[in-house]
Parts: sequence; C-alpha cells; structure tokens
Amino acid sequence: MISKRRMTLTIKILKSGLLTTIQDEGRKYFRRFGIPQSGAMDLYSLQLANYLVNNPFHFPAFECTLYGGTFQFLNDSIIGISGAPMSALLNKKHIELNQTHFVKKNDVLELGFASAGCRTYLAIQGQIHLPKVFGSYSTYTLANIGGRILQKNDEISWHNPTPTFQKRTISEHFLPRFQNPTILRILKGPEFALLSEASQHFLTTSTFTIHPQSDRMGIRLIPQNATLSHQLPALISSATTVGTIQLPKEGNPIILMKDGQTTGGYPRIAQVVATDLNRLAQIPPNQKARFRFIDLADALDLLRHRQRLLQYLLY
Amino acid sequence: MKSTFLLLNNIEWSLSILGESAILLTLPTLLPHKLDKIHSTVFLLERANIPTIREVVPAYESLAIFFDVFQTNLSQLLKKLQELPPQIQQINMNKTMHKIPIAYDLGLDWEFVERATNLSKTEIIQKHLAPTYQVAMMGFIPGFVYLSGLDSTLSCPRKENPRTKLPKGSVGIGGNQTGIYSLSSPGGWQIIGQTPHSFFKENATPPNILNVGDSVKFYEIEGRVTGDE
Repeated sequence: MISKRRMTLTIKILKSGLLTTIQDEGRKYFRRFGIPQSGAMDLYSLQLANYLVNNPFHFPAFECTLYGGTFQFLNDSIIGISGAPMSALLNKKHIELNQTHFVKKNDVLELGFASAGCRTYLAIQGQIHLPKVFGSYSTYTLANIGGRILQKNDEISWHNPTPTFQKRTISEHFLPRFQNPTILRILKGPEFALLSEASQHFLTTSTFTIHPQSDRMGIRLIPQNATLSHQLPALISSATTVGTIQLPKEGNPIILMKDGQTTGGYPRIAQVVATDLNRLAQIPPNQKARFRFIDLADALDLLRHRQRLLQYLLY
Repeated sequence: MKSTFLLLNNIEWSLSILGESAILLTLPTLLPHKLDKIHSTVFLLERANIPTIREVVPAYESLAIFFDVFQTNLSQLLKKLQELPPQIQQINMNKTMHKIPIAYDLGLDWEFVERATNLSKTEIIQKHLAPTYQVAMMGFIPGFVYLSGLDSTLSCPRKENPRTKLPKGSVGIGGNQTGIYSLSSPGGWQIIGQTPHSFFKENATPPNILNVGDSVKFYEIEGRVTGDE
C-alpha cells in the first residue's frame, strides 16, 4: 500500500489546536538538574494510541488539549486516536476513535472539541523524525526542550520503513471512563502529619474544583465548602515529584504534573497515585475531583495491574 | 507518614515516601554542616551505582531517591541502602570554581532590598560580592542555581506575588539564599542583578555548567547585558 521508497511520512498542521505538543513517556534521569519529566499527561491513553498503530507503548504522539485542530497527511499513514473523545472527521467524514485507520496522501483529519475529558492522543505508525533531548521526544515549552507548541503550517515527519496495517480496536473494557467528580486515590505526603486534624479531614471529605488556570505544570484545585488553611512553617526547598499535592499558604492545593517543578518549598501534603495521574490529566476545567486515601501496597497493585492490562492487549 | 528512620552514611535520616517510586530522606534537625552531609551522601550513592536507582535529587536538608518501581521494591531498596559502607574520608568531588559576571544596575528590586536589609545599594553590592558561594542544589526549573553562603544581613523575604516572567540571567535573593535564573521564567525572588551567563545547556549532558558542590564568586560588570526580557 505504501511504496517502500517513501519511508518518510509528513504530517502538516493546517489549523492549530488549543495546545498540541509531541509527548512520549517522558524523561527519567534529569530531575536533579531541574528538568521535569514531561511526557504525556495521560500516559495510558498515549499507550493505547500507540497500541492502535502497533508502535511500542512509549513512542511519541501528538497530545491535543481540549480542541485538536486540523492535520493533513502528506503521505499515506497508519494512525490511531485515543484519549478524550474529540469529534474526528477524516475528509469531513466521521471516524471512530480507538480504532486503527489507514489514511491516504493529502487526507485531512479534523479533531474538534473534547466532549468529555481533555487530552487526546494521535499516534502515527513508525518512528518520529526528531532529535531526542535528554532521552525523550517530549516537549517542555518553558525551556524550549523538544520543540514547541505546534502552530499552523508546522510539519512533523515519521519514519516507517515497514508499514503494516492491522486493524485494531480497543474494547470498552480497556477504555478510561470520564466521570464527574473524578475520584483520585492518594498516599500521604511527607508533610501530611503537619496539617491540622480538620484539614486532614477536609482533604478526603471536601470536593475540589479544577481551576481553569491548570496546565501541564500543575493542576490547581479550589476546595468547596472548606478551607485547608494551615500554619505550616515555610519549608526549605526539597524534592517534589509528578503527582505531589502541594499546599500553598492560601489553602488551594496544587498537584504537580508532568512539567511541574522538580523542587519546591510548599508542604507536600499528599501524593496522587501514579495510576490515577491519567484520569487526573483528563479532568476538564471547572469539573470536580475528590480524594481517597489508599496504602502504598494497594497503589503498587494498581500500577502492576495497569502494566498487565497493557500486556494483555497484545495477546 | 509515621516517622521511620534509615541509617545511611552514618546518618540517621528520617524516611518518608514520595509516591510509589521515590523516597525522601531528611537530615536530623540539629545536625551541623547539612549541605556537606547531603553532598557526600549523594556522592556515595552515585559511586554505589545501584542499578535500580534512577537518580538522586539533593536539596538543602534532604535528598530524594527515585527508583524503578518495576525492578525493585521499597524493602529491597532500603536493605541495599543500609548495607552501603559510609563515606569515610573527605570526598573529592572535583569542585570547580566559577567566576560569574553580574550587572547590579539591572536589578529590579533595589528599593525593596534596601528597605528590607536597611543597607545602601553600595553596601549590599559589597556584601554580595564578598563571599565564595557554594552550589547547594539545582531545581525547581532547568538552569536555576541555588547558592548558599549569603551574608545573613542580606537576607530578605520572597515576593508575595511572584513575577510571571523574569529576564533570563536574573540574580536574586530569596530568604537566606541567592540564586540565578538561567531561563526566562516566573519567579518570586528579589532581583538585584543580571548575568549574561547561562548555566543551562539544552543539548549537553550533564545539562548544567555548574554542579552541586561547585564554588561561585561574582564579579561586577557595567551596563546592559543582552538577553531576552
């Protein structure tokens, strides 16, 4: 179907999305230099998109936020879309998410607004033709690492020497559910014990609203009908990680996300478990979240279960 | 988290978890020479080269150990750490001395710093130029360098409302520290000058020109530095 001479496939942005970047599973070894992990906010949906096109799970793809924009395929390509349900039109005809699609030279894909969730992944079969920076293709805009927010007329190429079209579909069972409020499981953070008893209680009894100014660096929460005010001392800077829930003085928690700072001075009251970072990344602005404590052993079970689920997809 | 302790490098660290794949070790409160203890422990861990450890992130009074949660578990990791022989002799970390130019006239917060310290600009500059600083840690963003050794009379609080964008190369004071923003970024420190040097290299490994433990001495330059603002 695709001529062997044409191993390079280029995708052109005809209309930019709200925030479209290239993301893979992120950087793992550079936090001590202040370089955040970056990578897909919803890693699981990226992995599903890669599954659709028969790429390794960790490969880079387009991460589209809230509104996807318009893409043109300058060559025949094999694509898959997973994550938040955005309307997808291929040459003005509706196509399904969570299925493998073969697109032809000059086909145009329009990704609309997400009807639930907020991040959608468009994977292309093959190897992206970009330099790795600190071991990853992920975009980190603050330091101009790994490219920029994609604009109209930007072109990104992939290398696919052996195109193989195999129709794959992801069954309901594997797909994330988008709920409101979203329940997030958490572990206690290093400074949890310093919170007042009332605030400890509010953390799991209150509902939180996602502030519209949330982004890839951090998700800001506004507690409803409660304040998490505290008299915690200012801390000297210390390490943070993805999922760390910081509590600044005014009492509105911030959950550090993939582009979040690597160290900080706010109390680290809790930690969203790794598995639930995916659904956290999908909560649209102004929707709600609630927290529930689990213990470390259960968090590890969730993580292993998710790994097994991915392996199960392949059989 | 209930208090748990870990003996490593002859130090009794308090131990907490930072999610599923990192632990945080904090020094006992009253221990002297905290930075040296942190840096020698980082050095010890780097030399031990435990394959399941991804990296060690040092801070002023704590360090975080990030590990591969699919290759090891907490109890295996803690056992490995406890078995490490302590760093006995004085470490030689190949500390480099860096001389860094600074244009104090490009400071943005002189009025505030003069008021907070009750010193004149000239006095502040003298006191800021005098010490040899030590690179304490790096973070919170790429190229930010935390320096310890600030003259205690220059200590001043951070801004209540951080600036959304600082020019790259900004040198500031935050509490008892001074530091350099290599990238144009948001920031809450009081800015007293600007350096034309950048300490972050996007395509180099390691990406930072300064290393934890290195020494830094500022020298004054005149006029305007180039850089995006």
